[in-house]
Amino acid sequence: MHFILYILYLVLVLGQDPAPGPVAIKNVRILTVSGAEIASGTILLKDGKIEALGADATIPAGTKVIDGAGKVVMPGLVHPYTRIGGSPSGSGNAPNHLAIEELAPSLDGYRPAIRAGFTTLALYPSGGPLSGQAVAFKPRGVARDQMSILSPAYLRIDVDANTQSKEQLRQALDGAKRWKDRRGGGDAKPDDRTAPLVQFLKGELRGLVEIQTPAEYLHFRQVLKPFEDPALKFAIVGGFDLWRGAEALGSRKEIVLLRPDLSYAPDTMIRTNPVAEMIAAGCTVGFIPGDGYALLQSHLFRVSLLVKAGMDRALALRAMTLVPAEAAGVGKRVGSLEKGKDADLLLLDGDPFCGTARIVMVIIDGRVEFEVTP
Amino acid sequence: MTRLPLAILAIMAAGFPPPQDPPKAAPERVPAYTALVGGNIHTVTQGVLKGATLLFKDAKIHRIGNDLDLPEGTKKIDVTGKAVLPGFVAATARGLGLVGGNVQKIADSLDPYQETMKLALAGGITSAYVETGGGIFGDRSEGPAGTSAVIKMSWGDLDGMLVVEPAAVNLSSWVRATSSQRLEMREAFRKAREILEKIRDYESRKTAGKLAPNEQPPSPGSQEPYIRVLRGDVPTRISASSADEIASALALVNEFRFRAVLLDADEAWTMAEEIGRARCACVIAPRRRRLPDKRSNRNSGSSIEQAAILRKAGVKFAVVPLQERIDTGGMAGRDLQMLPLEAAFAVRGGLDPKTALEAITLTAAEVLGVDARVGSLEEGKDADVIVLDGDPLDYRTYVELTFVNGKLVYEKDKSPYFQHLKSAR
Repeated sequence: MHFILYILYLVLVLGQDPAPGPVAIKNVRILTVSGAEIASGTILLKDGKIEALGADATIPAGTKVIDGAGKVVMPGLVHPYTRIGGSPSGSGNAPNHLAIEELAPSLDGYRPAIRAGFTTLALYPSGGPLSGQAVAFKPRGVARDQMSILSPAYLRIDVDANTQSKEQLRQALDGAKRWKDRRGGGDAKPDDRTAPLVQFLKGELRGLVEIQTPAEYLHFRQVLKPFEDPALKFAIVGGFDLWRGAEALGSRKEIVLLRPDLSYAPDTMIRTNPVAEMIAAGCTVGFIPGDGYALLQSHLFRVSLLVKAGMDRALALRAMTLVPAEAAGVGKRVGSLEKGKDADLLLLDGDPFCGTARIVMVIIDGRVEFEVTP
Repeated sequence: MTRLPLAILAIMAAGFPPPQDPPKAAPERVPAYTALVGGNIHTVTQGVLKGATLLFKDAKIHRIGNDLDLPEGTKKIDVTGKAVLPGFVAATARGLGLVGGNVQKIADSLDPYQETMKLALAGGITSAYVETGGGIFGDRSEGPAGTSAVIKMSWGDLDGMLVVEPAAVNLSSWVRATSSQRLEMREAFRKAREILEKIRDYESRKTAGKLAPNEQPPSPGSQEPYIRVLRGDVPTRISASSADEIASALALVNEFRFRAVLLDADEAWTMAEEIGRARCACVIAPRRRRLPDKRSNRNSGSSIEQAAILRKAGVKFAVVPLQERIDTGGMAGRDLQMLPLEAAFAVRGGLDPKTALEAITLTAAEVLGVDARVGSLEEGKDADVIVLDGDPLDYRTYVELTFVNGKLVYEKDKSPYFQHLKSAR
């Protein structure tokens, strides 16, 4: 009996983190992403949210104050497409699969992601062509429900340029469209596998479409054509040579998630800047770092190289934060520093793109999750 | 609380359908006109028009001639002094236009962004025959199970890429088959012929309105590819290099009377009359060398005069290069990029230049069954056009512009591979 009570105590008291007291960082340069940069100001965090920010925000009594002189604050990085913590076996062709069931709160693997500055991630279900629904989460908490901030976050679609893949997708969308167009019909509901696709077609559930080559993009668009609807919302995760389809993707103003790397034209040593090509063509670009420890750690640095190669600073910042947050359906909560948004931020000891800046503090929901020991 | 007003709204919506906006007339799409002005137009079918204008309307050739009235808004491209030709047609191609891996239907695995496509366009090729499978050595022993298509080099455009699928049935396995396999294939043809007769009988009674109640058409079953061959829907392709192989291919063709294209027909010149009588077309590579058979008491091996001899016998032929493929690694002048050179080599062996040009344009299109759309510059045909800086069969000539379906898809001046190259004249 005492044992059970003890467990209850653990779950209720320790598990339910008491909200941290208010924290303010002052004299700090603030990169808000959504609004103008504040050269020197204060950001006030309370109850896990951003309470105020500005050049002259007042700090109430009883607030823990951090002096940010010479430092920079920016929103936490967002990784919209991870398998960190996912179960090793894929879900296959199962649109009803929920990735939240794969989340592993006890996993040590989240620590490197936090240290690298990632405060929101989205775990996608692997498999295809319809592998299931992702969960957007923060790498903290002791239970799946505490970690999750949105489930389902998006429906993942993986398209290959072959008959089987296209046919499976076409049939699934066909079935969903019959439900979408249904008038009346009482209490009948689509089955579990069809329901997420109906939501997708209605624009209630975002999609995330993985394609490797620009050809696969055209094949996906060809399959989608009879089901097109202005309400449809999806982003595209592309491979290293997606830029060759920049004209086609740009003409539809696609949101594209890419690795932040320079590349080569296939089978050649001709250097290309895929991100620049995509942006010039009219796409919105967001970044996915990849899941390796080195990739996570070097994310800021890799993006710096793209800024060096001519990428607009403001777009580069958005591409690490707000764009991936929106692609994961959580752009209203995270991805920028605005009053009322989640207090997820990074404190750096220099400009994020200077190449040598270090993340000295990572704050998630107003709580310091990582701090460099001075 | 909120349900009630919603319910009322729903009833209202059901009872009084909101007035619908009258359907907006779709804004009339203005066709895009492009004119290539002042070039020497090699029409292939109607000779060469000097200093003439070629006008595209969207993806088709609209008008050809001197002193054309150009519609308002026509995009003019000055090609004075240049040669304007239909894009070349590759009667066989590998490594072009398809993604790798599991290909069931070519239409579902087309890659309009393949780097090799840019090379094909630089070589003036706008259409090509491709097929799936074939083993790792490119062996053509597929049998009727594989699929094939004629595709266009429509860079970035998936919908405009496929011309026809399936484009042919590959019967190459016949030539190298064992006796028992041949027996099986003959049997399949016989069965197909019987089923085809039943289908024709069914169709004629159907048009005469004399079908039995609930009568179903005869099922083609597994003989379906053979039936399509016998009905003439698709041509067959048979790889037959030596005279013996050609003779065995002709035996099957003569027994069942179907359209056949002989591939790799190196010794075709030794039996041009027989090939002509069987109404077979050939695909030849004039530069290919085949040693004569020392044991034979008749003509054998390759001949530089092959193309000229076939022409004299009235046999249609398409020309392909030594290597029917294309890749960024390069093939030292032996691959599809050098298609016109291969035709020029036939001229060296006595073929007239006009037929040589046809062998990589209109005849190649006929061999593939797509000559109604491509292969020559005629009004109403597809606007697949190349602009050259010299005579098409001159080795110094470069392709300057390539259009596919009326769209400019290659410019030498912008190509990372070719922009710096200039031939000495």
